[in-house]
Amino acid sequence: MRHSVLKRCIVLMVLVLFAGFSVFAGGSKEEPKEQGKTEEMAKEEKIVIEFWSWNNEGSYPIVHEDAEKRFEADHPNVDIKREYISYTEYLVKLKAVLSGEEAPNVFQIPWAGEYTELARSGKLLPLTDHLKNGFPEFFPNIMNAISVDGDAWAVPLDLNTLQIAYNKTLFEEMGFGIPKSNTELIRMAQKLADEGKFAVALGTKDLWAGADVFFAQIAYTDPSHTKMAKADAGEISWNSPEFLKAVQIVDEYTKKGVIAPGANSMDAFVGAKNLFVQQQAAMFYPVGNFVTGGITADVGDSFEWSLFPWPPLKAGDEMLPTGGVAEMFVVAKDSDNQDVALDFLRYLTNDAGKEILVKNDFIPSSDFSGDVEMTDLYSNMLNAQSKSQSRVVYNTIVYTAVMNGMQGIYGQTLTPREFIDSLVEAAAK
Amino acid sequence: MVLRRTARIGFLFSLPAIVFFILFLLIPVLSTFFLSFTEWKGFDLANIKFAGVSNFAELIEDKIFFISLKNTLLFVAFTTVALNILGYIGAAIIDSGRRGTGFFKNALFLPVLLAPIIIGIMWSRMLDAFGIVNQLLKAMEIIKMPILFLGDQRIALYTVIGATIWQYLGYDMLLYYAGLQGVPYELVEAATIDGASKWTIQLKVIIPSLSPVIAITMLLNMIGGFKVFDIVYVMTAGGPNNSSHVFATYLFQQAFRFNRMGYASVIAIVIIVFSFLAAIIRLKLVRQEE
Repeated sequence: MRHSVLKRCIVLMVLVLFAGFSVFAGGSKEEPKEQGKTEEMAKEEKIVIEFWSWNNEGSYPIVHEDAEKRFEADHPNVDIKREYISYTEYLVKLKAVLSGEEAPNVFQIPWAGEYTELARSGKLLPLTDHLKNGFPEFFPNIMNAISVDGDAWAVPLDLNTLQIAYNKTLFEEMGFGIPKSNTELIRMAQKLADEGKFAVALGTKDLWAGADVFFAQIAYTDPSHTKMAKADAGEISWNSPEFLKAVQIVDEYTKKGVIAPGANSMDAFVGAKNLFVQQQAAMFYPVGNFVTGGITADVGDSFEWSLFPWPPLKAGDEMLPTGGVAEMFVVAKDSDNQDVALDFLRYLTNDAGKEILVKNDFIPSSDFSGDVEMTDLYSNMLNAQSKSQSRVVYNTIVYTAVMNGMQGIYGQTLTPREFIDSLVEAAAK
Repeated sequence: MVLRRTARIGFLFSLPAIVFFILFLLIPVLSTFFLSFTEWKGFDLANIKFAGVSNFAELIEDKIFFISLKNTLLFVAFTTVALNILGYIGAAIIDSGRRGTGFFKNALFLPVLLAPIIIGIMWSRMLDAFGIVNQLLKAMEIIKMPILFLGDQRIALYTVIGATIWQYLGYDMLLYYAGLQGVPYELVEAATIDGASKWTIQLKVIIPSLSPVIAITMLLNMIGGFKVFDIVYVMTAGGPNNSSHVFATYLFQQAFRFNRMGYASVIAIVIIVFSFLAAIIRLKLVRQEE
């Protein structure tokens, strides 16, 4: 009796295990590819193009959706499946699906640091030849930015510039003009402090904005505009006077109250933006087209505002903003339907795509000749774009050292010399 | 013969658990050990390069790793001590059965039900340089300039520790409350008749009776502390200037930001070693009790 119960238990367990293994085995088995389909059938077959981005803020979803609608109208058998993933999770998820060969057909890619790594990962489709076929002629400096080891790997959608937003109404009340030099900006900060106002609201808790203040100064301390790219490529040391001078300026800005206190404890687009919108700070950095809509909505009729770049070392020198590619997309090398994916990217960047970009205050990555009414703010950004200098460091370890080191500068726990040493050390890794 | 058959049946019954253990614990741990001797970007399995002990050698020279080690130990020490002391006090209060203790119990337990990410975002906003806490302190004229709870590298880690204690206090309190229900009332009564003060009863009768609960609670706190990630990541992301990194945030940075899976595996091994040590301590404490 006891034996028969035990036997039943054993038989039952073996069956459960067998069923379990069958499910696992079935799940991991590759489905055989269908062969011999007629072209007609292939046309009728629903094609799903997975499209990943992290930019669901501002007007980007309008641009994405517009391209999707136009594309799906012309390709009824194609379904663009768009997914937004928050930036904090994006790269982790992306790397996981890339190594599992489950990458989406089209996905957004960061412009700094990780871009080179991903381009060299062997997981992206090289696009140099494809970009010559049916895509607009992208600006040459943008082609340089997307090229790694002689090949272009991404389709640049739009460009951005980073400038300082300023409260025009408050500036007029205080008799300020746009500061023409950094000493003028420091004097303005002191006058603002006397009135109980902060000068530039800056949130560096999410790191990147702090690094951009440093890059903005390099635009002036290196008139050749080549040293940062050379240092990034390892051709020269980060221990160059241009970089030291740039960080010294940021250090001086911090010490003399140009940067509002608490930068390290505020997010760029939450705490810092609120200081500006609530008129506690007269200026706010960094502002590009990706955030202008949000500021306008928050400011409402409270005050007028506009943009200017960080001021140069001496009055009279040309004011130079920084900028680069904003959104760019790649095609997975191992994905199906690469032609369809590329065609979708053509719809994103063609004339109709550019028109919707411009209507939403974005700057296309190629010439736009359409007839769209431009706001003053947009004209300002477009003008800035033509002069913009690089804000890109591709070496992730150095870029991270810049971001962390700038937090040290804003927190006054790091000297400019120590900051430069940390970059040299990071580059050596 | 019967014994052998029983052993076989026992083995078969254990098989699902053994398979699960091998697939989801043993293989990942062994893979981590293997990866620690390699260089791998995390993209392509065909591109794993043998690197010898270079990752271990680099760890010894890595200043930020030692910051994260120090911070992890501080995090474990502060949270374990504070959670146990405050948890016990909270449990003693609700065990007293006074009016309002039900509300007190629920209020303290509520944060345990929230995700650490939500707690992190909430505290970050409140402790922002111009957040509600600084505004209140300024309104009360306690401060003139904002306190940079998360922006000052001298206090950022302690701010995160404070938020963690706030979150898990209710959990420890409930463990101690459950323990207090098992303390023999006769012992307390006998001590009272013998003229022991309330303080002496707590110290000499109740706390010794709770030693198994103390051991388990401390161990849970320690293991939780060694693997803490989410709340640190949300509140400071290891900053400012790497000052609040703990093991897990530094591992995350190396693995998923720098794509250095081999080096990140070395850090993972350090976490495993610390957790293993904590488990051994727990085992010894439990055996002593037995």
